[in-house]
Amino acid sequence: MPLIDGCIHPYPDGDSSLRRMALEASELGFDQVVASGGSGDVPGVLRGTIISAPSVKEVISTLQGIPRGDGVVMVASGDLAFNRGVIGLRGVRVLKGIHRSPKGAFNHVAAREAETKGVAVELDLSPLVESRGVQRQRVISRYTDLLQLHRRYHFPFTLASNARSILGQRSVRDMVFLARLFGMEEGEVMGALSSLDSILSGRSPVQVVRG
Amino acid sequence: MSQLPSQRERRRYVLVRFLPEGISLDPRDVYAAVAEACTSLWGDTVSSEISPSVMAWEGHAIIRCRRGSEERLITAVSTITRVGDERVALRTITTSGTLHAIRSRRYPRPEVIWERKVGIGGRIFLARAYSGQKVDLIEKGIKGQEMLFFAAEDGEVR
Repeated sequence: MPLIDGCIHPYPDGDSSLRRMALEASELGFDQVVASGGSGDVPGVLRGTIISAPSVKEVISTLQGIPRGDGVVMVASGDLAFNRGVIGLRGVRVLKGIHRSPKGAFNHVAAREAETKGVAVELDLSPLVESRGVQRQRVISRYTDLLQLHRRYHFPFTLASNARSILGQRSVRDMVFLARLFGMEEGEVMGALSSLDSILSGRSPVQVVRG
Repeated sequence: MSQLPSQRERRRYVLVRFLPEGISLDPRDVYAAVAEACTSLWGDTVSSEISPSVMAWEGHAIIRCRRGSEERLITAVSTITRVGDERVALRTITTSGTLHAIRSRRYPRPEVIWERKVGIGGRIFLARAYSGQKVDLIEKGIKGQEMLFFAAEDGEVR
């Protein structure tokens, strides 16, 4: 299963070109990256679209303008009603920035729906790297709660550096260590890094093989 | 007081590489960044158990810690985004039990293949190409220098 960095933001959003970030990702142990911008056709890069909208209605109208099967559609999370509405939409693959949403914005009901619809929840590692003190403690606490829900309801996770520069990208090993801060085991990290591949190909992360 | 080798506490040495390529940092600034990262992530008690110390030279540093605390040290190092006033990343290359072994695994300093001036968005940058298709663009201004990171195949630097 390919290891995928869930989201990067290349030039002009950041200071590094898409090709350079793809080169760096490959050196850091990733097989693919999801890029929310940049230009050119670069091997190992999946195109990502981020939808930030205040209501589900606006998300639907934005989704209509995106050709079906065109890359990874990610929606910035909101409150619980918004998140549940978004998870049910066809074409949405990832719920993004959950640590910025109010507490309770993703509960057991949303977790069940995410598992059924095959929508992943992104764990953004950039606040663990860049923030300090109470802000980082809150993110760790939020991710610990999400991990408990994940272990119970088995909805998919993705892990993303959300790097805007090669200086913000982290290796697979660094991600394993950073994810340990909120109790994620190495196997769970590898599962989260490779979950997008099965989501995009429509495969279930668990396959029954009969001999 | 000197101790017998068998009584000395066990240490681990972590080799890290600095990014951007070619940057040289003051070892004291590197130590300050490592100590701050350890303290803010793990607190004073665990940081004293890690007990980090730094030796830095051109493009690299060896960070020493107590054996058993290297994973915590590497996690803390991965949260470093600045050393002094410079934006950097510290990439862990390897971990070893002896200084001798880690010195033999030094990462070769990347060679500059070509250097020329390029214009991007009305600004002039000094482009420096390294092996592996990497091109760093440096703009020196009044407030310090700004850097962009491109690849040799990118249209902007061709």
